[in-house]
Amino acid sequence: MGSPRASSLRRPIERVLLIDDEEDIRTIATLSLRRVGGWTVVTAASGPEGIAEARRSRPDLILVDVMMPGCDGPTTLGRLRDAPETASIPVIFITAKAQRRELDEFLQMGAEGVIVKPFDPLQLPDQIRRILGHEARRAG
Amino acid sequence: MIARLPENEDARLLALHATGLLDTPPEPAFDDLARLAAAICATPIALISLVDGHRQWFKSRVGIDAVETPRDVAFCAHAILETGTLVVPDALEDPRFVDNALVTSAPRVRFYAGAPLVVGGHVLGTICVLDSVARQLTPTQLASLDALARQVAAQIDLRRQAAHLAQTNARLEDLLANSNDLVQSVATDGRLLFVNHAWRETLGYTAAEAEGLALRDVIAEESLDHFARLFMRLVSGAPMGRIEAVFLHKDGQRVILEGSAICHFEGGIPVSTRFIFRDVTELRHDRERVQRYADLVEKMEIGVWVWRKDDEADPLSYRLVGANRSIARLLDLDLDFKLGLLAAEVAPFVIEFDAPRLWDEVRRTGTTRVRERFPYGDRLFTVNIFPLPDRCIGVAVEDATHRIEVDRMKSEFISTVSHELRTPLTSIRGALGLLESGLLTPEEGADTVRIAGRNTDRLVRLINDILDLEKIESGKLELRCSLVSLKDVCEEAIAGVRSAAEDAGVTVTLAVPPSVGSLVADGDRLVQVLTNLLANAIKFSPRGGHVAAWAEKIPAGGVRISVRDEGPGIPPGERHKLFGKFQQLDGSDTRKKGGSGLGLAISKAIIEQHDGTIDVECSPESGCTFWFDLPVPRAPTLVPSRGGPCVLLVEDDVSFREITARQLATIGADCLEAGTCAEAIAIARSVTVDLTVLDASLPDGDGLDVVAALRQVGMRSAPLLVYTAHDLDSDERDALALGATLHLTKSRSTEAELLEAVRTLLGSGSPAAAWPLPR
Repeated sequence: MGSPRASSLRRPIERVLLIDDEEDIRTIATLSLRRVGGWTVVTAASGPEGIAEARRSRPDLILVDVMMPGCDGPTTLGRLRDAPETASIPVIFITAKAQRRELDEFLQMGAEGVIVKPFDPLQLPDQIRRILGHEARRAG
Repeated sequence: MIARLPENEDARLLALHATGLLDTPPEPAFDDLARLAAAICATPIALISLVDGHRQWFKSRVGIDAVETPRDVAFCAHAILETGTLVVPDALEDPRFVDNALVTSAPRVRFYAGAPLVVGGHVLGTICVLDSVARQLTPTQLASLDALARQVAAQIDLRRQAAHLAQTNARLEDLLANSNDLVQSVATDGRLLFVNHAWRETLGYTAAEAEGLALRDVIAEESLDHFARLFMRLVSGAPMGRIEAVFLHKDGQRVILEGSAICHFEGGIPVSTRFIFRDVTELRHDRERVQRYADLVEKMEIGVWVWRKDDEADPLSYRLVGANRSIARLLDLDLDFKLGLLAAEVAPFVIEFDAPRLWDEVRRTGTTRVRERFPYGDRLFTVNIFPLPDRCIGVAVEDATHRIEVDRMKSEFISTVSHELRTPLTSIRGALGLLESGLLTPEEGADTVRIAGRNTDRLVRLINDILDLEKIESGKLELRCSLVSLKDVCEEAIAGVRSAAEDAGVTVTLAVPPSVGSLVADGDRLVQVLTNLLANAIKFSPRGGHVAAWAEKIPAGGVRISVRDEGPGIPPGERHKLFGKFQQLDGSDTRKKGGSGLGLAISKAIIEQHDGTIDVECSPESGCTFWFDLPVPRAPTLVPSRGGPCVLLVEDDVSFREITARQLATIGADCLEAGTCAEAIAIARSVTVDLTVLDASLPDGDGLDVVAALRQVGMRSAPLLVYTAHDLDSDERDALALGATLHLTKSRSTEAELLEAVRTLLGSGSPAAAWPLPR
């Protein structure tokens, strides 16, 4: 699920920040992004932690879980956009909320795209590349 | 000289023709009068002449053969211009007649005297006498001629009236026979003397079949009384009576007729009663139908009003022509609003919302318009606007607030459930994919397998909880109640969380004083609730913390079980959310701890099904205390838990009760235990037991009270075993008895005798006879 903004973002991905409050999902997604995508991965377990990490490590992409206690995904996105140093980092939502109406809402919030849980760890990096308008690497 | 015409000639001719006398045969009544005139006046000729348009025609004539003459030559044409009698002593001397053909040639009239025939104000002709010699009449003769003229006029008037009467009668008969109303005439003995066409048509009889019918042949049983009462009223002088009655069509169908009756008397004696009816069967059915619809509209929750536009040129000229109660209630209007008021007067907001424009459009297009989620006040309405005939529109207003809220909650629930299911699935799916890829190191692989396992458990728990909750919410959760020991419940729950507590480094203590004892409840479900509370307490307690569980009697009667943790506490504003579905106060915490977010919702439902309450108290210093109260005695849907016969054991001595219960258990009986009369009665009211074993002396009453209560709850013939401290006399035995009853004396009965008595009684009662008891 891509957005018009994606075409302008051609910068190759090296470092990904993953913000998710579910430890198991962080573990699985990290393995996928690292082993399948070949990217460097940093993680955060909450919105505020993720924002701080984004400022520090300036990732090429931020994956944000939508449903997190306290500071949820959309709030985190808003704060990232508000700060100049993180405003231009592409953000993709990952969510277990999968109703059409909800997905449309998430896209309207300004995310590059939405990845629906459960995702295939072997396809996740390609899914991200497609959203960002990068040519997907052929598997195998 | 030709006579001029009378001033009212047209009306006079109409009156003449209306008599119907012209060109009719001679009649003795007139001829006699003409002859009298000739005789009295001593003239050779006498005539009764009617002056028509162009002739005079003789109704009666004496002395001449002609039946008529032209009006031009008629003396009578002159006579009818006079107010009195016209006398012409000598026609040759009278310029009006000197050249008259009747004078100059045969019959050469010289004398004429004609008295006018005045009928209904018109002079229709004369009775006249003529002679061929000049002469005079004596005053007596003149007066006689006048008198004869009056007699002739009276005869004419009589005939005119008779003709009129006959005509009227014919019309009436025609009306009666062919009327759309049903006409019947009934003799005093109930025979039908006359029925008209409509009557026969409506009730299905031919004219021949209607002959010989009696009223009772055509009236439904329930209306006979109506007729009897009506006859009584009429016979005793009431001028007219109204009646609505059920008649029977020849084929048996019921026909409702409504009408009036009058009674005919002859010489003061009633001879017949005539009825005129209308068939109101359809009307009554219509009225009932309309009434049903009206009731429906009045009673339905949907508000309805109907507006009619007075003036197409005035866009705001909609007036209220109909409304039900609900519209007033829904829109919070004065209940007594008057029909006929303008929209602006009844409900100004109608104008504010620009409704009349929409109403115009609905009327113009003839299609219904629906507005969903129409906000008014703090509610949301569904509004249907539909066209009606006669410049009207109908507006149906339904309060959709609740439905919309339910829809929203349903959607939210689905969204949440979807989220909750997808989250563990993500870990499982991810773990499997990564394992399959072969990209992981052995350590990573082992971790990943653990993740998959953990999340599978979480998924299973979640699904079980969702199914449980569904069962509870749809009212399908059936408690399997029996007498359960609270100590056992608490110990079982603690055993279940023991390893989780050890993992979390939390100690759990339990205190259940013996006074708490047992109560009737679903033991497994209580264990589930307590396990859930303990698991939560362990999860939220810090490592090294302490979770305390205890049970206690509460003053109101019943038992409270509490679980206190040393967790961070819950803000007061958030506490009400705790027992909702997926209402974690902190989603991350719950998920980290492996909860489904449904446990407290399920616990609340279980406790409430036990008529109990569940709640939480928190303080920042001492953590949270979750507790639930269970009232005793209670047993709403008690079912025997093991499938054996159900025995109500009423005994206040706890140790004796326990021994007896154990003995009963050895023969497969399920025991419901009561220590007081009140408990026994409460159990008996909610459970049908197969046998009651009753100690006759109890702390709050004696066995007689229990027996009386058992009789009241329909156990008059149930088996009963009474054991008493002393021997009973026969009166006491009679009082302490239900159906098959055995009496034992405590001090002289062995255990074996008690069991034998129980076996005997369980084998005697009808429902319990089916129990196969081990010996």
